[in-house]
Amino acid sequence: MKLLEWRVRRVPVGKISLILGILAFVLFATWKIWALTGYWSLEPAFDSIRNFFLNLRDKFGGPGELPMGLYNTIIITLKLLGILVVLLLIGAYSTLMERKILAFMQDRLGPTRVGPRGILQPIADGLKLLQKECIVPLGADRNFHYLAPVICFIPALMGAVLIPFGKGLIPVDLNVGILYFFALGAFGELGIFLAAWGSNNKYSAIAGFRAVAQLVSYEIPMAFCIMSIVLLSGSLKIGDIINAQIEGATAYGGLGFPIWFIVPQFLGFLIFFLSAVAETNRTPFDLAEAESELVSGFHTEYTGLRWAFFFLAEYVNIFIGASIITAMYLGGYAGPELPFLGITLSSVVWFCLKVFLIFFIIVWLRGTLPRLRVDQLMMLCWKRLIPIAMANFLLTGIFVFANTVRLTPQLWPVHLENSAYTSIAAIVFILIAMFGLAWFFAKDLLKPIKERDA
Amino acid sequence: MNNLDLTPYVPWIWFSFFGLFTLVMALGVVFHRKIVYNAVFLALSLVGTGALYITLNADFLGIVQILLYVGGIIVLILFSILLTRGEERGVEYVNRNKQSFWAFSLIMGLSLWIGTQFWKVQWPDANRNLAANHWERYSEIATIKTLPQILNRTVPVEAIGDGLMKPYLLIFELASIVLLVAMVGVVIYMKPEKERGADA
Repeated sequence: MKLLEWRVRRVPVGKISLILGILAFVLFATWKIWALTGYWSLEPAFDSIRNFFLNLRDKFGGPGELPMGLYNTIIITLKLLGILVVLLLIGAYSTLMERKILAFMQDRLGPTRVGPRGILQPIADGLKLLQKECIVPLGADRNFHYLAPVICFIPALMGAVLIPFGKGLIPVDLNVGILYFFALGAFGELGIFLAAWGSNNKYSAIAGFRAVAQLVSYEIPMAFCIMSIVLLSGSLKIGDIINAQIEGATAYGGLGFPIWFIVPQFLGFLIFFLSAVAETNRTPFDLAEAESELVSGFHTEYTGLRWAFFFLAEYVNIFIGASIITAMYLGGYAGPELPFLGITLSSVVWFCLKVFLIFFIIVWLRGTLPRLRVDQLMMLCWKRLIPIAMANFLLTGIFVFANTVRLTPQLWPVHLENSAYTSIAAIVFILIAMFGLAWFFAKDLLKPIKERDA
Repeated sequence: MNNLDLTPYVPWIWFSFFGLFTLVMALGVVFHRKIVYNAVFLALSLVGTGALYITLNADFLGIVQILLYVGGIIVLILFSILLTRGEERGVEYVNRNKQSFWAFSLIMGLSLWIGTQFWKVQWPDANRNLAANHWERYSEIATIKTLPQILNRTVPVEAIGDGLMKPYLLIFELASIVLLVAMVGVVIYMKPEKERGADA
């Protein structure tokens, strides 16, 4: 009787509905990806899996031919699982990389005990976290406490479909491209808020305040930078943005000459980089999880695997942010072909190198800079980054207009010979004018905060 | 077995699924008694609406829906809940005014009226054809090999840009002016009483 009671009481309705929801979501994503990519590019894998089922039918009997949609679902689910495993490994090994880099900067060795030179440390950490008990505080809101790590973690994985790993290796080149990456940030905010509210703890609540205010504010300069990039490349697709940097033009626009967007958009690059660091809650912007003030903020009350989910989400988000920066400003997978590797593999190598560079700079910031105060953080965003980003956006518009004039000789005020020299001269002139204007707009803003606002 | 192929109807299935999801979450908004839960249900309901747009191949609209409503408005609602602490934990508020009958009948009447209007509207040709003989279209499509292309008819972003900048420019700008006025109003409203008097 007691056993029965226990069972009746312990039906995990929340968990079941959550699992069903995630399942439905995965199915929807597979269908959408299939609808976007089309199954003709997947034909070989499709055939092999169909043959597998037909063989099963021949040997053991059974339904044999399954509906086409099911085959595609299986194939895309397998692909997604592959990406999932890669991302989890990246997330886990980013922690090791960060610890090693920090150790190098602080003249230490870092983890050395597990495996040769500490290489297996993340796996040991993962196993340790798996064994730990998930404690839910008495006064906590159980549903929110349970949901928050999931809501933080899922968008981090969803961002993976956008990452341009190499030439022709973008999992899904979405039509809305970069906006999708942007929309995922919204769920991150929601997850942090739920964690903060669900913990029923004043430190977590303060962290929730800070995180939401910070994320909402830093989205604005980011949006302006993205709009500038879209103006330059003429497309929202990640693939088109990279192509605009490699080939100079796409179907919808482009500059007419190949250049990495970090050159005409240097201010944009700086602002986007800072905002991305702030969006991923990293030092010096890690006010939401400040260990020394807030006892690690919104995940104070989390233990074991749920805590690990927050951290995995953070590191995967850093990776995605670094990839987006690479794709938008550093030419993505662009780079000379390396010997013995072929085009595709060398593009993957270039992409990984650039992402690692960005990751290294982010860790470098953590190793060297102290944390900002809340008011400094807000002032940096609203009084510095947003005006500079808006000025940058305006200048980009002027730049694109001038470039269009350059490309159409009918619009020229003076008739000149259309040669490479005039072209280069015009480009140099436009770039210098742009930097000059940017300096004119920004020089006041780049002064130390005290001087200007006193 | 080929007769059982549901592939052409997958979009319709997803549409009904997300429609149901949105409605259930909307019911959660109305009937749950904790204000934070209401806000989260609202967020899920809006995500469901975004997913509806995506099933209808309006990807841009769906993403913008999620970006604006979940990222902006819901976060603001949650923020205001956090700031005001309008409720103590564990206290449930029950609406005790006796308006449910009138509210219900008004809503039903309104939705009936809107429904009849929808029924009467002459929709554009492409949509009408799709709705009228989608069976033939999709059964024909399922046999030939253009299904990906048919399903891939997303509304291009350029079309939206053209629409906003060419025929609907005036409406677009008017909407932004309304937003600006609202923002200025809020700024003035939030000033302390004295400063407001001094400015005016």
